[in-house]
Amino acid sequence: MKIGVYICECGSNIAGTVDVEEIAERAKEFPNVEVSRVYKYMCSDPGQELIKKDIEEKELDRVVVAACSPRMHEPTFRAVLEDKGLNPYVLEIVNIREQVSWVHEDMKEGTEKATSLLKGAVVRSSLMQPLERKKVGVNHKALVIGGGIAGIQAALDLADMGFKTTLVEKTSSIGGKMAQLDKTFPTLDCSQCILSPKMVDVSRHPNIELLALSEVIEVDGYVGNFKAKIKKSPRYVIEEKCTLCDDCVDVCPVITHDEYNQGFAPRKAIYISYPQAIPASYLIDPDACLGIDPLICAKCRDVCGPEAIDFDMQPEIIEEEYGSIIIATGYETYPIENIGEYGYGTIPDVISGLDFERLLSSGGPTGGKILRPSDGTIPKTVVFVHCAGSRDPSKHLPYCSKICCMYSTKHALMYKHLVHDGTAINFYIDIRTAGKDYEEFYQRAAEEDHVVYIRGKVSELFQDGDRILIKGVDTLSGETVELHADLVVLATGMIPSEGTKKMANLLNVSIGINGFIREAHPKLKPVDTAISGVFVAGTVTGPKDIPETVSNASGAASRAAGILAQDELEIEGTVAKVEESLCRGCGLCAEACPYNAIELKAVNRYGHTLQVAFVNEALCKGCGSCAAACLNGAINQLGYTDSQILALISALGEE
Amino acid sequence: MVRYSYFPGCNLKTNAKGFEETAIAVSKKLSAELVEIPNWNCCGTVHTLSTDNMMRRIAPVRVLSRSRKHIDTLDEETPNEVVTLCSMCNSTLKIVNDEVKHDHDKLEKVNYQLEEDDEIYKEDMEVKHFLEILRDKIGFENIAKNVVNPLKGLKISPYYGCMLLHPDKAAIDDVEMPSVLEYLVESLGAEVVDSPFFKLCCGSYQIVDEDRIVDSQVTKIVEAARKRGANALVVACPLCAYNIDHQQKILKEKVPGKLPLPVFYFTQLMALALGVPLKLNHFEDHHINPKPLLKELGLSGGKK
Amino acid sequence: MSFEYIKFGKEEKDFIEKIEEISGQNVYSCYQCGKCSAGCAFSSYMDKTVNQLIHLIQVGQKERVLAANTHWVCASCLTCSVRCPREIDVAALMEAVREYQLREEPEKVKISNIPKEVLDKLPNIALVSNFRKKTE
Repeated sequence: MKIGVYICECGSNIAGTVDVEEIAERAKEFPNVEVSRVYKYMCSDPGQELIKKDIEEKELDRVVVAACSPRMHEPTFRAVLEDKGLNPYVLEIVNIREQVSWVHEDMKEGTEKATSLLKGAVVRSSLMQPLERKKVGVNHKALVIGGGIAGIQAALDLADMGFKTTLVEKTSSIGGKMAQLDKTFPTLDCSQCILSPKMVDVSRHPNIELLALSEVIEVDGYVGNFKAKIKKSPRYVIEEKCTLCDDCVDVCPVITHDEYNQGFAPRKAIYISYPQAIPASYLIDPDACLGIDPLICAKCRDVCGPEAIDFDMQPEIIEEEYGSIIIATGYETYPIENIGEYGYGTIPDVISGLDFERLLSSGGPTGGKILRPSDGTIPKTVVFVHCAGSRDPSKHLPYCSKICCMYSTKHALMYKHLVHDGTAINFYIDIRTAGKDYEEFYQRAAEEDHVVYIRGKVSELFQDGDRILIKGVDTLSGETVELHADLVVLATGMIPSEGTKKMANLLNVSIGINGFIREAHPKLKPVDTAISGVFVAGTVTGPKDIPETVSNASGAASRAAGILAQDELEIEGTVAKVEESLCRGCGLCAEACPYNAIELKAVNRYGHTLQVAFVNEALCKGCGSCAAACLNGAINQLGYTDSQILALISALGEE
Repeated sequence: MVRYSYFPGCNLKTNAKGFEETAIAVSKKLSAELVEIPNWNCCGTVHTLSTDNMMRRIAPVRVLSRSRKHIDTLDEETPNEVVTLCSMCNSTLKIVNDEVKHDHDKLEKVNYQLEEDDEIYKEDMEVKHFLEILRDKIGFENIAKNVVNPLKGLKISPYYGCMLLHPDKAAIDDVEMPSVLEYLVESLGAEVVDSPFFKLCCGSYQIVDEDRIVDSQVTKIVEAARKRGANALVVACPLCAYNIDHQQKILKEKVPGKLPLPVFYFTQLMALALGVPLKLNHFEDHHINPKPLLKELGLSGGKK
Repeated sequence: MSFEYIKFGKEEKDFIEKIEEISGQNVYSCYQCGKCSAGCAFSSYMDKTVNQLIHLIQVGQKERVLAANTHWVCASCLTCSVRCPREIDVAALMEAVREYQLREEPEKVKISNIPKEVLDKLPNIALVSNFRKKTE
C-alpha cells in the first residue's frame, strides 16, 4: 500500500490559515504514506503533472488530495488517476478550504484541525477499494407525455434530431390550451395560426408516432430502459378514412356542451373539437352518444360516405420501450366556482379569462363578437378583475401566475378594438410585465386604447337587476368605489392539471407544495427531475408564458437527447450494495430511498422464500440513505462503507 | 325528546322576549327541548380582538364552564353542546371556545381568575347556534312536516347579519353564499327573496352614539329587499332586529312614503307556521308592527 | 401640500411593535390590495380608508394613525378579516389601534353624556358591545 498525499496552498486561500508545510511534514509519519508534497495550485496543470509523475515513478496505489471541496475538483483529480491507470475511486479528497481555512482564523487551530482531517483521510484511504463503473444499454426512443405546445415542441426537436418519438395526448387533438387562445400577447399573433403549422409538422413527421385519446397507465424500468404501457381509447372513427366532410354532425340527435368552447357552445356526440385539430379526424363521445354497445342510433354511420365510422373499435394497450421520458402535461385554470365573493360561478355574466378568449375568437361561440352570456347584448362596460383567486394564501392560490396581468391587458385592449365606444376597466394590485416587449404592450393598452386601470382588489360583486354591481377600491386616490358592469372577466391563475398529478405518481417524481412538479434544481436544472431519464417541459413545473414554455421544451428535448444519443450509459461506481446473507428483507432501505432505486424481491434460499433487497444501480445516486437506515448493516455504500467511515472517525479522535 | 343545554344571553330576556319564548315553544314541538343554564352571565356580546386583554375573556369562559357543568346534569342523550339563539353570543362563545382549546396559556390565566368562583373549564364542548341544530339534527324536512299554517304570501328576505358568518371559524354556513335561513323559510311555506345585502353589517353597536351610520345601513338593507319584492325580513340577532326595526320607525318619520318592512326572528316565523300561541311572539315589542301584514295574509294565528 | 418628513426611528418601531403585540398580526404581511376597504360597509364614513390606515401603521406614523376616525367608525363586522387574501385579521388591527388609544384615554364614549331616554330605550346588547369597544 503506497499512499501519495498532496496538499494545496490555493494561494493564500488555504495557506493563509493552515500551515501547509507543517501538515505535509506530519503526514509523512502517517501509516502507508509514501510521499507527501505541497503545491501552490494543485488543480493546475503542473500540479496535476506532479501527481501523475509520482504515481508512475513511485508506483502509488492510493492518492489523497487536501484542497478545496470535492464539489469543485473531484472529477479533475479522478481524471488524473485514470490517466495513469489507477482506478478513479481510490482518490480521497480532504476539504481544508471550506471546512478549515474559510471557517477559522487562528493558524494554530486551523493547522491542528487540518492535520486531524488529513490523518482520518489517510487511514480511510488505505481501506478504499477500486470500484467499477457499470454500463447499461440505451433504447433510442423518446416518450413525450402531453400534446400541448410544450409537448409538440419537445417532440419536434427530438424527431428532428433523428430520434423516434411517441407523443401521447389525452384528448382527441394536440394543441392544448394554446389552441383555445385567440391572440397571444404581446405581438397579438393569432394563436391558432402560429400553432397549427407545428401541429401539422407533428402529424407529418416520419419520426413521430402520435397517439391521441391515449393515456400512459404504467411505467416500469429506469433511465435508458423504460417500459411504458399506453392505453389508447377508441375514437370510433377511422382516422385515415375521415374526410372532415361534417355530414355526420347534421344527423346526430344528441346535443351536449362543447369543452373546447368552455361550455358556451353546443356540439354533437360525433364531432371534431375544432377544424384544425390533429389528428384530423372526427370522433364519437361514448358518454354523450345514445349507445354504442348495444348500438342504438347509428345515423352517423348511415350517412358517412368514406365509411369511416367503426363502432367495434376497442381500447388498445400499447407496450413500448423508451430511453427518455418528457412530462409535458400542462395546466388548468383556477375554477371561478371556488370564489365565493365573486359568485361561485353562478352569475351568467361573470366569466373566466379562458371563457373570454373563446368569446374573442372568431371560431368561438359568438363568432368573435363580445356578447353577454345572459342576453346576447353587447356589453358597454367590461370590468376585468386581476388576481381572482391568486396571491391569496388564505383561501385560494398563494402564488402569482405571471401571465394574468398580461392577458387581462390583452383582453381589455382587444375588447376596445371590437367595441370602440365601450369602457374597459382593469382592477389590479400590481401590473407584472416582466417579459420582452410586455411593458410596451401595457403602455399601448393605456395610451392608445384608453384602458382604465384602477389599483384595488374587488371585494365582492353581485347581480343587480340585469347588470353586475362591483364593490371595489381605488387605493391610489384613497376612495372606495362602486360601479355597474355589463360583463365581468375574472383573471384566474394556473393550477397543475389532472394529468400532472397522475404522471407524477406514476413516475415517482416529487411534487412541490402547490402541486407542480419539482425540478431537480430550481435555478440550474429547470428541466430535469430527481429521477434519471425523466424530464419536464412547460407549465408542468409552474406558470409560464409561451416563449418560456417553448424554450423550456427545447431544453428538455436536448436533455433527453443527451441520453438517447448514447449507446451505453455509465453509472457512477459509488452505488449501494446489498450483502444478501445479512439482508432480512425488512424494506427500510427501500422506504428510505428517495430515487426508488431499491426493490424487495423474493429469493429462494435453502428451500425458503425470503425477501431480499436489490439495488437498481442505474437509479442509485449514492446518497447513502439506505445504508443509514439498514439495521443489520446489510446494505453499504460502495466508496463509503461503514468500516471506512468508522476508521476515519477513530483517526480523528487520536492526538 | 332530546334536551339541549341552552344559553340565552341578556337580550333574550328583555328586548327579544319573543325570540326566546317562540324558540322554546318551537323546540318542544320538534322534540328538541332547550333547557336554560341556571347560573349564566352575559357573554360579553363582542369578543375582544386583542391578544392580551385577559379580563375581557373571563365572562365568556365562565359561560362555557357553567354550560359544561350544566350538560353533565342533563341526561345521557344530551350532546356535548351549548345552544345559543343570539348570533353575537354564538360568535363570541365559538371564538373563545376555539381559543382556549388551542392556547392553554390563555386558558390557564383565565382559569386562575375563575378559581375563586370554582370554575375550571374542561375544553371538550362545542358551541352551536339554534339554526345549526335545526339544520343538522332536526332537518328541514321534519320541520316542514310539522307545519300547520304554511306562510303563504310572506315574501321573506333572509338577513344573516355579520356575526352568524364571521369569522370563518365561527361561521354556521358558507361565508359568501349561506343557505340555512333560505331552506328554513321555504320549509315553512313562505317565499324567499334573495338580496345581495344579506350580511351587510347593520351598524351594530354604533347605534349608541353614531346612529347616522346605522341609518344608512338600514336604509340600504331594507331598500335592497324591498326592491326585489320582499314584504318582510327574517333575522337571527337581537341587535340586528333592534337596529333594523327601530331605525325604520325613525326613518319613516323622516322620509315618509315608503312602507317599512317588518322584521321577524326566525323562531317567530316558525311559531306562526307550527301553530304556537300568537302571544308568545310578543309582537308588541316590535317597533314596526308585523300584525297588519299578517292579518292581510290571513296568518294571524287565530287557531289558538 | 408640503412634504411629510418621515422618520424610521425608535418611536416608529415601538408603535408598530405595540400594535402587532396587541393584535397578534404581522402588519408587514399587508400588500395593500385594498380588498378590506372595498368590502367595508362603513368606508364612506372613514377619513382614511382601512388599507390607508394599515399603510400608515406599516410606516410607523403614529400621530396620523391616531388622528384618523377609521377605527372608531369600524363596527367590528369582520368582513375585512374574512376576505383578506393574506389572512390578516384586519379587524384585530383596528381593535389594536382602539386599545392603544383607550389605554391612554379610557373613554372614547362618555356614558354620562348619553341622554337618559336613549340609554333606557337601547337594548343591553347595544350598550354592552359599544362600551366594550369604546371604553377601557
